[in-house]
Amino acid sequence: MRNISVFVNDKKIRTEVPISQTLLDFLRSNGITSVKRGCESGECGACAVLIDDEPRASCITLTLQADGKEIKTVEALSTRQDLSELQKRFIEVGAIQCGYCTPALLLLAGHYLNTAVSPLEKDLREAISGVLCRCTGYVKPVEAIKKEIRLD
Amino acid sequence: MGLTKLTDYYRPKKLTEATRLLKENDGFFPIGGGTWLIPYGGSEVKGIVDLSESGIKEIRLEETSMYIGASTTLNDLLTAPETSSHPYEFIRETIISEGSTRLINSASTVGGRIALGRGDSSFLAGLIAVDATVILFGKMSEDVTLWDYLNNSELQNEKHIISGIEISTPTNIHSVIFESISYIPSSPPLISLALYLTFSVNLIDSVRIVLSSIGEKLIRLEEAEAMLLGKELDDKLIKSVSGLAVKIVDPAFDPKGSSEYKKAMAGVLIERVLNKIKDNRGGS
Repeated sequence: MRNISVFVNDKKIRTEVPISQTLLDFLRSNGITSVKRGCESGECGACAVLIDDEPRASCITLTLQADGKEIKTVEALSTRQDLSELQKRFIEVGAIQCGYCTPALLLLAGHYLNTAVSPLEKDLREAISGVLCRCTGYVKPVEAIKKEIRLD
Repeated sequence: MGLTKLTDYYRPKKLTEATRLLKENDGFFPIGGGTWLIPYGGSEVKGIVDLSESGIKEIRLEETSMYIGASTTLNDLLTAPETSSHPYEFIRETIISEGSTRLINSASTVGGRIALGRGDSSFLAGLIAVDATVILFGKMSEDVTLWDYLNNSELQNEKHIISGIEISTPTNIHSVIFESISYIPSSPPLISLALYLTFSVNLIDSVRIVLSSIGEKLIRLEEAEAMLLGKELDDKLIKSVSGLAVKIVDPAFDPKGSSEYKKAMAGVLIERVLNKIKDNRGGS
């Protein structure tokens, strides 16, 4: 076991973790269940998080690798009172079917929109390409993101 | 995850400390991002030495070379201004061609890619084509070319750390060309080719041809290189080199593309890039 200290969605967590624990397991055992277990090999992207503002697959990241760092999940997008505008666009457009990949899609889309100087559809598709979505074929999620930034 | 025997993890700030940990402990492995070792490492992994903060994350353009630190991620390379223009744009092109996603590229490191030495890495093929040098920390002998490093299992098994790579900026570069064939542009190549070629007046004075996605290891077509050296690039020579490539390439079984198909495509790719160079020079 090792002591760690991380910020998860701006909340500091100091705890002891097993050395071989993945960040995915750490987050889920701390109630962050938007981070989904999928392939466990970094292929499907359902477990996406931001570590120090870099998109990472939490299933292939040890918790210890995130020690001292800032982790963001989709929970950081909304407040207790209200959803973010991007989340609202997803609902309006109907960009959700089974919903398993939706938190990861929202997180990566939100990260792209926050960092892109002049967003382009090609680049936003690239930004969310690490998340496999077998329901929507990306049509509705892309439509929702474009609507949010008024990209026609 | 198969790391059932993992009992130690260190994130040293200095390479000397990382080297000591690796040398003193059997079953300790270095990681850059850990994108391969964490999901696929087995019970042989007892300790991890995380190099992400060991001071080797750097891209440095010097007067006659480019240095890339081993902990530099592929995403760093994709977004660095240093790789946005000639002659280093091939770095971006080869990384993109591998078809990895942003989630992987933001964790995968240059050192990790070299340590894995996979035969389907277009990125490594490009680096071999430009004769990149691997810098080994704690190794007293001279730096070694990437091609020699990947073909020297004894050296790979030594407990040293890859601290970076260096690419000499060619002064008389005519072409670093990368070509690949894949189902769709964003999927990993069925086969790809990286070629570096320079001329002295009208004669080819240096050439390296590297194929990826042919087998477990990258393939360098040294016979074809020898056929090109010292010659003028014309249609007859291009056909001969293409024919030789088809003859000597022996692709491993791949459910995505048959051996016969890949053999034929090796010839097509070589012909394509050599014709491109010839046309760029306005040759016959």
